[in-house]
Amino acid sequence: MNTEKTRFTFGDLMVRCGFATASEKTHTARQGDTQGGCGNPRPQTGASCSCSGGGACNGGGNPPGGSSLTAKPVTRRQAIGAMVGGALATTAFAASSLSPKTSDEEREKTLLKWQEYFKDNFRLMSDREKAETIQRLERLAYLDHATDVKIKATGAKPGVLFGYAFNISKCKGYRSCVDACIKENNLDRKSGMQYIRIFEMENGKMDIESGNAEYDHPVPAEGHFYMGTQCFQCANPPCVEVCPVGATWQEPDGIVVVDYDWCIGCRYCEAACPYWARRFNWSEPEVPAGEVNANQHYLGNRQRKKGVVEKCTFCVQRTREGRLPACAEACPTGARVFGNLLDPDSEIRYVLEHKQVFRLKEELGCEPKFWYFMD
Amino acid sequence: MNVIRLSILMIVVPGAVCLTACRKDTSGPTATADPPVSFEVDPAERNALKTTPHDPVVGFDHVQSKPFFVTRRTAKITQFPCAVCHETPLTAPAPAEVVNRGMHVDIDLHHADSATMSCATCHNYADLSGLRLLGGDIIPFDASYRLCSQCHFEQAQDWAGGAHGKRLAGWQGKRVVMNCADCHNPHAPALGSHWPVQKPEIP
Repeated sequence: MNTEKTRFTFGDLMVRCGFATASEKTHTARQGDTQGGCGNPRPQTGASCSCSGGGACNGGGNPPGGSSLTAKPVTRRQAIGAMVGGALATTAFAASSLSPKTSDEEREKTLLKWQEYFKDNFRLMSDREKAETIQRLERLAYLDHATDVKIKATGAKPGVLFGYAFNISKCKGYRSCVDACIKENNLDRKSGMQYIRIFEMENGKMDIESGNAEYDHPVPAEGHFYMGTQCFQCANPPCVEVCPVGATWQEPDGIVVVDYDWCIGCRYCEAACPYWARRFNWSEPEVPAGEVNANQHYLGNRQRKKGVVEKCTFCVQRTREGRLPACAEACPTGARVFGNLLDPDSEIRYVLEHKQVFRLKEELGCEPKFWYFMD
Repeated sequence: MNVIRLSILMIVVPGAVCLTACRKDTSGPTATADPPVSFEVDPAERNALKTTPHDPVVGFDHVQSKPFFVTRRTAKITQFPCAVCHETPLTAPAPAEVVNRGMHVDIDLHHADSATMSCATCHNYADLSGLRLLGGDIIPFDASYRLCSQCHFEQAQDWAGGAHGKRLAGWQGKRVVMNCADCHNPHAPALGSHWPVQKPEIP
């Protein structure tokens, strides 16, 4: 967690030291400390930087907050990572920090974790960096959990905006979706984490606060209906607004994702979400080796760690391949409709155009892309 | 919360004597004069569909919307083709006790009342391998959704558009949906109650 703190304070520090102006603050915070810098006031163009560190102070020609995301100089983060990583690789560091009995595997693990420590925010990574981190994560999954996983970084398809509709006349409260979600997304079994909540509501009541999500009896119960919630992938997501480090953002296809390796665990997003959609890992998530879903996405269901926030991503690892989210596929009643909002022939558009729909807490203006409808 | 009820009736009476051989193929003379449009399912899609626990699909015509695919029904009827037993046409409906004692002991009718429908409302006595629409057209079992949509037209409209029923394989590409009888037992269409899967541990 120390690094997480460093990441946060570093961006802040840049502002305090005049390294970034207040107007640049947002940009700096979003990009973390990838701009590098030595902590000294920004030198005038042409002047030499007075820093003496071996890191990548970006000098005068590359003002922070101004560089493009694609053309990147070597950053402080990369430089430190490479330096110490190199030391590790030559085993000088490893020999001093690890016991003589340390196996090659453990040494490899230490090195990989060190390199992971210094990687960038996912949005700032080049394709090569993405490929490298994925390779490391796959190897670490094997070393840590003895599972062969395949992690993808599939991007959003152009012309796609995902939307979801939920038929409250059809849902019977069987919770098959919850079960499928847990398995698909490698949710922590120890804490019993679940992204989806199915609320049992009394007929005639629409206040979801009065719903009971912990019902434990044969369903459907007489005089009740069922209303499912999960992340609604808001078009105006408050969780993204409040994130101080830019670890969560909205993708072009509308999915709000989390970079689990950038999250500092402050839980602001969890507090900001009016739909209780975000979950926090209070402990190291545990998934039995035999039950790990190996089809993973960097921004989706890959292994999370203690102290980070996670959430439903409409099964980004499936939906970006044209498949349905696990919950929609598992639903035995057909209450869940998923599709592309930009495709006028899609089922979701049919629902929006032909059925009476409403959204939860619409007055808040979060513009959730999740509609409820009735027969 | 209304449970959708479908109007297929599939009671087939055992022990009848056949006069002519029934066909498994329903595209013969007994098939409807206006047969459903058929679409080729390309091999890639067929492969993609193998990931679902359902049979490859056949293409059918649309009900009110754009053309889409429906799962094959005949592959799931365990005693199909009916002609294995029913070699001859039926002349009259069999009494309930005959049905319940015979090969169709699992069929328990909880659909519309007896004043509204009998076995013959849906089943074609002349050739049991097909179903009969109210207007007299004969359709194959794979197109049984047309039978249901005669009464349940509102549900059929939603189903054709996508607000009812289940889509298979994915949200992209050709639309493949489940047939009515994949979810609803046509003889007892209401979905039952059972225990939910997991109780959440909400902190």
